[in-house]
Amino acid sequence: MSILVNKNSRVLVQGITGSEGQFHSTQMLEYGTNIVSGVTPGKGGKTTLNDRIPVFNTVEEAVEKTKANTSIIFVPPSFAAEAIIEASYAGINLIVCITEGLPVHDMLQAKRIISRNGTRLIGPNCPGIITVDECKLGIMPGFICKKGNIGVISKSGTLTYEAIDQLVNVGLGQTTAIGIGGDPIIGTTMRDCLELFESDPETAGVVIIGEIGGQMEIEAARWAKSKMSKPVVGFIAGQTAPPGRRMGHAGAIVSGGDDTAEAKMQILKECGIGVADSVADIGQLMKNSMK
Amino acid sequence: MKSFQARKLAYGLGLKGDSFKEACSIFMKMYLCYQSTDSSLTEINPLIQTSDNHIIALDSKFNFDGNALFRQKEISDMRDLSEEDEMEVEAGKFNLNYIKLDGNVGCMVNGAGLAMATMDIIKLAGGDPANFLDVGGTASAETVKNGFRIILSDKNVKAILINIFGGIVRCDRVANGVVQAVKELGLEVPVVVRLEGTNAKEAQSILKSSGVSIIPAKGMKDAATKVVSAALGS
Repeated sequence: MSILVNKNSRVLVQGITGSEGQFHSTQMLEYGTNIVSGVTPGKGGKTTLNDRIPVFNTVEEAVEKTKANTSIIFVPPSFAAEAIIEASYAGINLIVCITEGLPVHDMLQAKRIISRNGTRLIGPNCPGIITVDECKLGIMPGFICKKGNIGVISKSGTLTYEAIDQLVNVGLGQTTAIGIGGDPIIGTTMRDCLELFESDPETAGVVIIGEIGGQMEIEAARWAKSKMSKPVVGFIAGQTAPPGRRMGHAGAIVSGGDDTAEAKMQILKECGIGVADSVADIGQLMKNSMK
Repeated sequence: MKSFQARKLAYGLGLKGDSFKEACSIFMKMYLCYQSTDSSLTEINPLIQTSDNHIIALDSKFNFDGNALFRQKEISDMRDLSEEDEMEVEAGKFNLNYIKLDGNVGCMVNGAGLAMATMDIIKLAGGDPANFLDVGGTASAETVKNGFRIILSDKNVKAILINIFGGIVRCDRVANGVVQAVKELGLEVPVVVRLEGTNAKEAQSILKSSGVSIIPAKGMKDAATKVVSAALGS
């Protein structure tokens, strides 16, 4: 078991003929991801990636002809919300939006529509999801992962790789790692992912990696305190971030008193989550919590 | 927003007659304003009621969504670069995300989360970060060189830490970029380099055989300790 994606996921790539789409689709195929089709409006009827993958004009057609149930989006930011909405109306169950830089007002609209349609969205502005040795639905380097029993949830890309690397170094593999994205409005929250890992029989412990800005880590921690039976370890980036400045991610900005790294770390600790003060201690702390 | 919601607000404020109508109209227009300008914040403060029962907006504040500026030409034309930090504007031209801070340890990292975590661990090791710098997902030799130039324009910088976790970015390319930049720019401050992930081993040997004086580090803790002691020593 694992969460969200596995070797049976039938993957559709939106924006497959663009340079990002081409590069990452190749990488995903190499990892073993079951890509069944691609969509680029105007290029329907062609094939791509050495004739392996058929391209369609619309998501609806791709779903109908290739039974795709999962989609990954690599289209430019001004069209990405539209791509999410199109996939949702076409009946896709799970959408991962890699694109960074979506206007917030576009995302507000997309989010209303996907919740009404019951579509699950990961991202935007995220590295995607990987279920180790089964399905890579994203842009992360697959080779750093090792199969095991730890779930990883993170707002950041490279910091996720750092955590995975540390886990592997202390002898802990992963079930699924999810980059939920660094935007202020995202599809699936940290708490949603904790719930999924809690009910996954193969996952025995979870690492959560948050950062300054927003309330998502606090919401997840409060849920974990009352509902989570598995050990959770956390890290919050941005202890030295100056207030009022946006630190790379659109959502990473300290704008009040309770969205600082310090405040979040305090609340995580109060909720029984093991907090790594130093980023270098994430792996070891998870290992200690598993005993 | 619908007009019943505006009325609800105005009733809630206890307004009557002309004030009530004017307030409803202001609330509706404010929402339109928020939507049509891609604001992340639309604020009227103070909003007053005069003794002859009229509602007047005395001051207002807007924040705009940077991601939507491509379709808000009128607003983006108002951007005044002279009001912003010169080096941050310069970095933006090269797609580098740079924020100047007060410390003396410069850092160059790929990814915003890892960049923040790098600043944090420098502080934990007893130093102070001089900047936030995310070189993004496609760090090339050119990016590294520009990154160095921007970090070094801050005269407080006494040592530099390069922390790259190669995923899509290949570490050997970054290493070549570092060697090239150090040679071309004739760097005088010590540089600690930590490269992990894709082609990290190749990267180590490139650094070793280059002859330029770079301090290699293994893991983030080692890197932070080394760069802080280098900054103190120089």
